[in-house]
Amino acid sequence: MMRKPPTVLIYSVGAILGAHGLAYLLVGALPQAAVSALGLFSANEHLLAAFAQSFPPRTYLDALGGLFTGDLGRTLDGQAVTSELNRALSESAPRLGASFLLLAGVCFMTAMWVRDKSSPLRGVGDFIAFLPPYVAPFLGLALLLAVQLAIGVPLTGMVYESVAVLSLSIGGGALLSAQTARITQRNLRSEYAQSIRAAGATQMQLRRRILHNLVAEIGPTFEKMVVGLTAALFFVEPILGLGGFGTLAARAVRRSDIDLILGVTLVVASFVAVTRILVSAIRVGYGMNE
Amino acid sequence: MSKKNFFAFILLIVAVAAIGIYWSNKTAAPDSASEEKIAVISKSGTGFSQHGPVPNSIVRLRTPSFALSLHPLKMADVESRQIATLLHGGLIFQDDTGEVKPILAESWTHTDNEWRFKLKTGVKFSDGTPVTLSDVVASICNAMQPTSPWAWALKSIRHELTEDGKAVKCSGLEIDGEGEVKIVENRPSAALLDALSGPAGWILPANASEQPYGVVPGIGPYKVKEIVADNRVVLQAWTGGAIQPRVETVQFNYIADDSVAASQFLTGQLDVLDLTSPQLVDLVVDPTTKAPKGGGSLQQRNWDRVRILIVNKKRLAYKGLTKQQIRSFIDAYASSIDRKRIAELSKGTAIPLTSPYPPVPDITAPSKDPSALPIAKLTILTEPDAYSDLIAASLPSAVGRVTTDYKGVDKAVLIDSLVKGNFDIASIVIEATVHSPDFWDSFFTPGNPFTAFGTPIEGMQALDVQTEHGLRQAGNLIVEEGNWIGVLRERRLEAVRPGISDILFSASGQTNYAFVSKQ
Repeated sequence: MMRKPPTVLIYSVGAILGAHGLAYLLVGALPQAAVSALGLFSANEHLLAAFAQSFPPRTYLDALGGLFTGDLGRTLDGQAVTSELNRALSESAPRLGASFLLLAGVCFMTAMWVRDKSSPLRGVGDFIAFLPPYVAPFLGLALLLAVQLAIGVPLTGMVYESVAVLSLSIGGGALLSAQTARITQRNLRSEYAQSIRAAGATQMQLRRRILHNLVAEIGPTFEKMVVGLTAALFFVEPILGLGGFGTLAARAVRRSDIDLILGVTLVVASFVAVTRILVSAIRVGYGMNE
Repeated sequence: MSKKNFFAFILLIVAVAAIGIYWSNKTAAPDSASEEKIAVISKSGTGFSQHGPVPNSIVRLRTPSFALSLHPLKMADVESRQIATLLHGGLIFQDDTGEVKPILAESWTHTDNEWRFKLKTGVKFSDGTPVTLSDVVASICNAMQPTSPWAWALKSIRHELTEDGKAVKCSGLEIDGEGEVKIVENRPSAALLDALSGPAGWILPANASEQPYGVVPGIGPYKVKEIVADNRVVLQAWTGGAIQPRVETVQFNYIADDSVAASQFLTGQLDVLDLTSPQLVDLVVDPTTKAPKGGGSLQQRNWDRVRILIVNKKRLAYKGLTKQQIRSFIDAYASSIDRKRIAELSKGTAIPLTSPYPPVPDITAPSKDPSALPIAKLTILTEPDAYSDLIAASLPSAVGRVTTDYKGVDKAVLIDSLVKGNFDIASIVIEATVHSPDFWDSFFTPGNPFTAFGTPIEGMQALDVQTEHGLRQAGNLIVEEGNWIGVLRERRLEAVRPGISDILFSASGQTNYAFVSKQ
């Protein structure tokens, strides 16, 4: 049954190592970490030498070896990269989990609710999905600040969290619902659906039947949604001022924190790879060739 | 949709909200409702070392950056310094009125070029170890080393460079037989006390081990309780140091966005807010009462923070301008900037700066006829924030046939371009000591590291900028040969909520929250 996943596994390991190596190369284009850390004082050669001594540059082989020993290096703040990543991921995980549930809910709702005729909402979904990922958090933040100032009472972190979850989900949710609607409508018009309907199945029974087809078909889109969610974190968290993986990634790039950038790349690449493997397994489970 | 599915969806939404609430509560900051003031400590007339109960209150402040480096010899940004001033202290503190207050020093004497400081007894570092005379000498000597960012500030103290040029012997620092620290200067410097008030003079344990974020024990009124990356820095009162804390907790919340910070100040989540841009002034200050909306007060101070343009002479030469034309361009551009209008746009946060050499404020660049300049297109690199963008947009777009446009880049990219000489003109903010000629002089003195941002001018080394005559001569040299154009001198404007007092400012205008109290 699981013939494909091993191939996917090999591709995934290659993709993770490739992303890590590419990030190592691209980091060279950023300003030196010493310049970010020392600012005006980075023109001082003695100070630069002391900085280099505190943060000795790691070769690619060192960084690669660290992947296997679990030593991802240290940040410019002197923290272990692994602990920074763990902390940031534990902060972002509930946000991502809630967004994932929301996306699944939207997908399920659309599949159970969409009519078999074309709906104007599908166009709205397409338009929202087209918007860049920073639009939603900016609008959400503007709304929050306006409400906060209007009522004169500080809004709690929970409200910010809700806006973050909505901002993370809205683009993916729109695309996913549009895709779900298209697939469901096509399935509802299929001969299979018509014959079930003719056999006297209720609308609910029919929808449940075609839901299985949807799960298999929507897999690749869902995979992209999960990747999109991770990418949206890079905008949503810094804009809303929330700590987490997105804010950590933004800080790593702004400060040219090489070890941290490599760690962030590793996490994102692994996340994409795991999602790919899961989706692949689901599709194979449904008997669909990858 | 069936009712069953509808309720299932509602259940899903409730589950998501519950996760959000749980997580929000888990990561919430200390609750302000639990604040209770139990005592009031008044400032001692002889310093700040009175011991007693610490009011159980919390002061919330903003840090707009989470690039923390709290080690006194590794700090490069004003945000880290603001936090570190609560952790550390030196022998003395000189405020912006010039008054010198004792911190670790109990008393001192001064004769010609010699200072003697007698230390208070019983003062401990925040790790509980007692402060010794050796710690004081070692700390100041470490700050004088070439690897220290503050070496320029202490260069008047007698010292000798080692043969390899990598270290200095601090011959002007010693412990005398009477249990005092003696500091001997090569020549008296007016800026020495200011230098000893800041990071250059902060006292650390001689063998301090550095924790993450550059945390080392200090003699300040607070110690680090908690650092949550990208979120907050929480400091807890430390009563064993040289300064008595006035509140139990000081919390710096990381808020990158100005509008979020303004909103938090106006709704009482922040006690003090630095108004560092006209946008913030618009958001926070009531234009009719000139006070923060919703109460509180505004505090304004002069600040040694200047915005200047740095012209890359080498790049202009590469673009075909002769040495004379470059000089002509710098002078013509400097005189065509409408500084008064740009200062008005700053809404009280800046005043015009007409000198390329801030210690000499009344030198203005002579106007030159720009008609002889060749056709050239130059780009001004600036920081990407809205205020820098506003200033860059207000600069002249042409002088003669030389046109300029501007591009906003990240600060690290800007500094990197400056170090590598990869720019035409750079608009930068320098936070330094305007009234310390040594600092400005170092940008133009051959062999000094800061000349990466200035231009080496022969003859500067021979001038004694500590004298009025030498300072004037240095100013003239820089006007004639320098590559700097002054634009604005910024002013520190702070919105303070009711009940907050004793925010002090150093002689160079840096905020010092070490003595802050909350009624």
